[in-house]
Formats: sequence, C-alpha cells, structure tokens
Amino acid sequence: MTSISRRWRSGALASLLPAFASLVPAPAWACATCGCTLSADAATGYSSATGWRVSAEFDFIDQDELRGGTHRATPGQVVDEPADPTADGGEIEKDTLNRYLTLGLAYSPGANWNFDLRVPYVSRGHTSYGDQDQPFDPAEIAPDQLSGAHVSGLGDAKLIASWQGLLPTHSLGLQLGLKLPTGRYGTAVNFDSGPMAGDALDASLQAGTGSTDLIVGAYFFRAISQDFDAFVNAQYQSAIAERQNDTGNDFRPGNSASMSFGLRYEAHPGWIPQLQVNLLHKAADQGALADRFDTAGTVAYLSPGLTLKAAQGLYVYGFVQVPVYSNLDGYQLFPHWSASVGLSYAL
Amino acid sequence: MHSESRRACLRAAGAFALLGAGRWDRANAKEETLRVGWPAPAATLTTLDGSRIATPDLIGQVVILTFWATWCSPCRKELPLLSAYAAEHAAQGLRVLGFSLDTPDQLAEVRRIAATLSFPVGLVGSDRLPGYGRLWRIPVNFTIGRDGRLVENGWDDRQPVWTEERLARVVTPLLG
Repeated sequence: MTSISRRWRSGALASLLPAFASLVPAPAWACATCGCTLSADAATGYSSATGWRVSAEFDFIDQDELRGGTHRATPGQVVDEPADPTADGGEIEKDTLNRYLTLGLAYSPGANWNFDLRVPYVSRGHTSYGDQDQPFDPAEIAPDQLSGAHVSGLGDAKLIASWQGLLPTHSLGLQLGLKLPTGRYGTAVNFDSGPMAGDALDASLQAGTGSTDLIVGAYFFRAISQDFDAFVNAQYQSAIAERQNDTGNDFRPGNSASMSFGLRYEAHPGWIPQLQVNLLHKAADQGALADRFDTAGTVAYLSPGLTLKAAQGLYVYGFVQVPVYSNLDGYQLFPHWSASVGLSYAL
Repeated sequence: MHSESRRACLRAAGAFALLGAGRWDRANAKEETLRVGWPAPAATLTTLDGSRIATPDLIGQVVILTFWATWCSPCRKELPLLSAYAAEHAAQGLRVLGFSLDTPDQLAEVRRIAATLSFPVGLVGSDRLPGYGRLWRIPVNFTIGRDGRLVENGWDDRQPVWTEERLARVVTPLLG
C-alpha cells in the first residue's frame, strides 16, 4: 500500500496547493531569537506541480516582553544582573515592532525541481531606554529616557532550490539556497529620537545582516489517513561571507537551525485547518557590532492556522503563532504572539 | 454604518454562512454514501483515448474500480492479475475501470502499462474522486454489484491488494 502525496495542482486543494516545495520558512532574521518561524511551505502545501507561482506574505511580530532564560525579566535584572558579566549595567530595551511583507516568485520546471526567490520588505520600529548603570533606578525607565528608531526598506532576499526526486511521490525534498545581503546593514539606520538620537541602531535590528548565508534543508510529508497529512521540515542557515568584516567594525549573524512539523486536516478541499509546531535554535551573533550576550536562544511556537482555496489556483492562509517555550541567552525582547497571512497564485 | 444597513449585512452574512454550511453538509453526506450495501457513488472514467465510461451506465454488470499509479509497486504487482481475471470473466459481465493517479508528465509510462492491460485506463487528474473521498493511499479498489450497490469498500481493507484468493472470494460469487 502506498500513501499518496499530494501531486496535483488543478484539482481540489489537497490535490495540490502551491507548487513551491522550497519555500522559505523565515522571511528574514533581523532580531535575535524572534522572527517568523512559520513554515510557509506547509501552510500552502507541498507539491510537484510545474510552472510559475507568485506569493505574498505579511508577518506581524510585536516583541513587547523582556525575557531572559525561560522567564520574564525586569529592567532591574537587566541592569543589576547583566548578561555580560564584565559590564556594570545593561541596555533596557522596550519594544520592537516588526512588519514583514515578503514577495515570492517560484518556478518548477518539472516535478523534481523547484526554484524559489523570496524578497522581504522590512518595517521595524524599535524603542530602548539605552544602557543604564548599576544600581537600577526606576528613573532609568522614565519616558524621557526612551529613544526610538525606525527601519524600513528591502530586507535580505533568499533563493532556494529544492530537489524532490528521491521518491516517486516527490514527498521527500532536499534544499540548498542562499540568503543574500540585499538589505541595508551595519550602521545604516540611527536612532532618531530620545537621548540616543544619532547613535547607530543595533546591527541585528537593521533591515539586513550584510552577510551571505548558506541554507540547507529537507522536508517530508505524507498522507497518514483519509483526512490528515503530516509534514516535517528542517533548515540550517550559516553565514559564509560577511560584508562587515573590518576589525572592530565586523558583524556576523549567528547560525540558526529551525524545524517545523504538524498536521493538515484535508477532509474538505476548500479549506484546510492546520497545526504547526515551529522550533528554532539560534547561536549568538558575532563581531564588534554584535550583542553577543543577548542574541542566542531556543524557542518553540504552536501555530494554528487555516488555508483557503479562494479561486482556481489561488490560496490564502492565516496563522497565529503562540510561543510555548523560550530559553533565551541574556535579555531579549520577545513576542506574546505573532501572526502571518499570505496568498499564493499559480500563473 | 447605519444600524439598518448593519442588520442587512448581518442577515446577508448569516444567509451566506447557512448556505455555505448547507453545501458542506451535502458534500459530506455524499461522501458518507460510500457504504457497503448502499448505491455506489457514480464514477466516470475518461480513458486515455478520450472516451467516457460512467458506472451508472454499467448497471447489470459487476464493476471493479481500481486505483493505481506507475510508481506504486503493489499496484504494479496486482495489475497483471486483475487484467487476466478481467479478461477471463468479461463474458460474465465483469468490467474493470483503471484509474491512474499519475500526473500528465507520466502519461507515456501510463500508456505503456495500459497497453498490457485488458481493461480501460484513464488519469484521475486529482487526488479526490467525488463520492469516494480523498485517494490518500493506493492500491485501493471498490467493487460494485450488478444492482449498482457497493459490495466492497476499499477504504475498509487493511490489505487491499487483489490476490487470486481474494478475487475468488469477493468477485467470483457476483458473476454467477
């Protein structure tokens, strides 16, 4: 008995949602261990259908909670128990509001290959009380201490090739790709308000990282009953070249490994409820411009969502991501929840 | 928005939701008719040469719907057996319809295999067949009696591959 993997596009939704078996789970890494971890591949469905497909995804991530380790942190802890043991204080960040609009173009010349380009536009607001000295004083988080910055522009694009010729069902795929340094990076954007106005924004909060990253990944999916599909995918990303490599002015984003798995309820061809679990481990950023003590961690999200067939070849989806676990190095801003909506259309 | 307009919108939304729910209920109800002893859902095979064979037109004959693919090893194993059995019992009113789940890019291979079979073959073109649900695993077979009622539901079989013993047990008695 052979389980059918979804191999068609033109029929019902289960027969096949979007063809890009190689979509990229995350639009851009621009902030510590937060970011969109949703698997867009699974959201829209893997496929071996041929042809062109365009897509768009909007992600909303409001990092409004200060956390350290596995718990919520206070400004007092940031200053009096700094992540850097040699420091006599710490930066009290307040909020980072991220909005990503990622446009995608995918092409499958045949059932075995898929090429996918994803280009994000980043809009990010960040506020911080800046570096504060020990001992912590509540006056350090007074409104007049707050500085703000806003980043908007092209982020780092990703180009990923997927090969799914290992199985006749095309349900096992291998991925190889690059994240390109297309976004502004380094010290491109400064704080524009508050006491830190004119100071450069953290390198990890700029629209791009300035690095070219190698991406390798794999995915597998199959029908496990008449009504359910299961999937799992994983990716590893590591910088292989940095534009910011001058001594004292260098930055290298930390390596990251992500994995998603979940179930799709396929009983109805027009609408597919789905539940994903998204795991991410990120190593610390490196270099003089990096905040080495506050950028590593491991997080897990539970992501319920729904995919709808809006018209022939057109699919829309929406997901909410709820963090269920976080173990963060140092102190980092973390979201209570995040949301993603997207669509894809077969040309 | 004025309250009257808002109420009208709500009424329209409610009606739309009810209509939608009705459609889904009907769709589900149709799927649920796939039961042994009940009239088998109609299925139409569009053969590789373009002709159409619909199961309602085959009332009075015993019909086997077999679903397979070129890349499915168990399917490839049972096809010659089923083909020989179909040829042997055609005069007794047995019709086998072969639904291939291959994609159009595998059409040449489908044609090559179909040429060795005694029964007509066509591409399904989807992983769903109305009334039979999502074709989530293969091989799967459905047997319909002369009265058009479902005799065997392939989804109920844990080992659905045809064997000589199984054909003799399930199909041969229907041909008497």
